[in-house]
Amino acid sequence: MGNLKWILNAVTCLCLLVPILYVVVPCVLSGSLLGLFVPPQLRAALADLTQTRSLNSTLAALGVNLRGFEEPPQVVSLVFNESTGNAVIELKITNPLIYERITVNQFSFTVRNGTHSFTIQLVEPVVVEANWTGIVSLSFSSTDPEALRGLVKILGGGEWPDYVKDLEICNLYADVNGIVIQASDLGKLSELLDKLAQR
Amino acid sequence: MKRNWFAFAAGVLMLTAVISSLSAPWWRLQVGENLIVVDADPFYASFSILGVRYFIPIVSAMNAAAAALFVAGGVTLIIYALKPAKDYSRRLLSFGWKRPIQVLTVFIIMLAVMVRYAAPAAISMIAHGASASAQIDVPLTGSSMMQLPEGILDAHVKVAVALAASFTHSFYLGAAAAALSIAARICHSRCAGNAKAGAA
Repeated sequence: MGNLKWILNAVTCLCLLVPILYVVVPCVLSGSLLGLFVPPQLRAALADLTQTRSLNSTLAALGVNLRGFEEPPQVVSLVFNESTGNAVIELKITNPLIYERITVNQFSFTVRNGTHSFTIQLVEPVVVEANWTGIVSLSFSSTDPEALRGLVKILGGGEWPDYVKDLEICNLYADVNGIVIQASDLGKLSELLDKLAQR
Repeated sequence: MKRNWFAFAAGVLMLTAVISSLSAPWWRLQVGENLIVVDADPFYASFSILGVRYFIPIVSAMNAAAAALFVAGGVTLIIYALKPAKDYSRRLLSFGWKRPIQVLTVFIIMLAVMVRYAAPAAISMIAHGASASAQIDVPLTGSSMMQLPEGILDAHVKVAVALAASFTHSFYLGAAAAALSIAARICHSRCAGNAKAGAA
């Protein structure tokens, strides 16, 4: 009975001490207690950055493909579908996330001109798979399909009527991977397009 | 006393809870759609950011210690349950029945501290420099929207992030093991008392 008590106490001590010493002793011997709290992948990524000075490989270890940020989405085509009354835009996209997909659950905004306004919204969620490069198609519907057709014609390179400079974008709502972005007033459409063109 | 089935069930559930933790943590917090995932578990805690899983070494060491003690406690309870009347059985019961209660209690306290203080503090650090403070409410279960400061991106832009948290079946296995271990202890006290009364 006495032996059993000592055996159980020894089991308890071994269970507690062996794993903790396995981690603590190497850190103490190397003189870096930070190793106890910093995940090994982060330490390896930072060491890699220091030695090779390669941001690409460091970010890749953290799940980010830098090329996805260097190459912004490019518009391949923008058309208005007469049968459905929807606008379809094709974008060439590189997903910068190596292990996670990007899902655009909702995207809507309102175009306003004085007293007249109409809302444009994404018809269905769009998914861009992890570490994927390619063309993705987004379909937008509107509360005023005729106005949407006109907008597509303007953005497609048609001649800009005078009232276009007064068009304003407001009530933006975007839900991307559970991150919700809302903006009540984005300013004039023409200024927004100029900013996007400069980028 | 032939068998203490409460102790046997507690022992089996303890071993099952450790194995179950490998696939499902006791508690999971998702920020956005798996952008950040925090897996809180006494045996296998980790977090992932953008799909890359990270382990904190000292926490992993404590997880391993807790798992080893839990398994040892489960095994001793099973041995005790099969031979509850032996001289050494009381010692085995004493070693095993406290483990699930200790692990469950420490886990709940650490989780409450993390949800109430650590997670909001970490988020505040990330959102440092914004003009307004973030409304941070990390749920213990269920979902909520975390509103980030308006200045975090640009003026007039509001950013909110969906939070979802839940306990999984692994947690309930551990809680059931704790309840059964208490029942096993009570059963042993009553059966041992009856045995003494019978002998007298």
